[in-house]
Amino acid sequence: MRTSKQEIQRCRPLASLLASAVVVLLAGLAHAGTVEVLVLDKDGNPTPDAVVVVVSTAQGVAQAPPPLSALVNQEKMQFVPQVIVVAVGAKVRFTNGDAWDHHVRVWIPGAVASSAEGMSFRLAGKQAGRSGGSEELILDKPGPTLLGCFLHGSMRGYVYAADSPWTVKTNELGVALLEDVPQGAASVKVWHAALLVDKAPSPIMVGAAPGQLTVRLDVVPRRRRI
Amino acid sequence: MKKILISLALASLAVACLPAMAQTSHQPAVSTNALFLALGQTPGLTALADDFVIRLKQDARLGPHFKNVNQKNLSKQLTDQFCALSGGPCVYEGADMKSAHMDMDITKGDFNALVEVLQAAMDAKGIAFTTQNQLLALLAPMHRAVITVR
Repeated sequence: MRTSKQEIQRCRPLASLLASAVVVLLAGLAHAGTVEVLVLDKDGNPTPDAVVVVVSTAQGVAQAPPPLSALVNQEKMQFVPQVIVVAVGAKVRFTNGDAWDHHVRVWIPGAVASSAEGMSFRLAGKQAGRSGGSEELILDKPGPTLLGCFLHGSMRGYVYAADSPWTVKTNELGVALLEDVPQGAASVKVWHAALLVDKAPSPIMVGAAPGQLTVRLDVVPRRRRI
Repeated sequence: MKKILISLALASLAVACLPAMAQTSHQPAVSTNALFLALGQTPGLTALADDFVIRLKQDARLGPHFKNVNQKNLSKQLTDQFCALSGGPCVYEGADMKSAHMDMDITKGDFNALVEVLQAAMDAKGIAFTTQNQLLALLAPMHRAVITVR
């Protein structure tokens, strides 16, 4: 994690993007398939906001990779969106849309709160004629980053920095649709905030026909009230 | 719950005139900050809120709800809110009650339990029963925004 002031390596993603574009031209899109992953909770109910990561052994380019910039707003004691997928190295802006202050805490799971892995910033509340506080972070560590608020202990949010361009969060129906996945052997990893232990990845074979996979979590995440 | 609220409201109506009458000797006839004064002004409310939050965290029923709560911040918000409600010179700048509670699972039982803990905290500070009921009457309508599980 670093602030935008430190963005020295900005050209690198661009270069790799260009390189990937060349690969696409060479490989063509014909050898790509679609994978639909359904995530269920322990009770068998569809689970939204699970992050599905497909890691392919073959080369290819996703048509809609996770974004390199994103916005997380604080609205009525919520991080909105609560779960967001971005590319590693993405710039994430945090804004406060509430009339009261928030003190955002950002940390990597498992890290000690006081360690360098965690940081925090206070965002002033929105007042008449003045927008709320705002801060930008660059997430350069792959995987989930946790968001909390020192002032309001119930607030939770998650930014997942994806190192695979085929990374999508599940919708309200618990479905993540991954397109343009290169054909061949791949593995599917599912992350959810309620999981205490990472699930082992499931191997799949991506072919011309759409592939389907159901992953069942061993927890029942708390349903949000709103 | 309704019964409690109604009786609270009635009790507060009945006692509302008393402090004003008692203070006519040295206060204007209509005193808008009488309750604030009776609660011990800002130092009294700060001490009350500090103890109230500690009691909430220790309460067997409510402890889990308040486990992750920032003690200092909640105490400050409660002090400001009680102060503003009771006619004191504070401005409450915290969250509205609906936004503050909308994603939490709060039952009528939780709300009533919190009222009990607040009463115990006020008892511990030696706040008169009539004064307690005046504050509770101002807080009671918040049940609509606070209770999410119906």
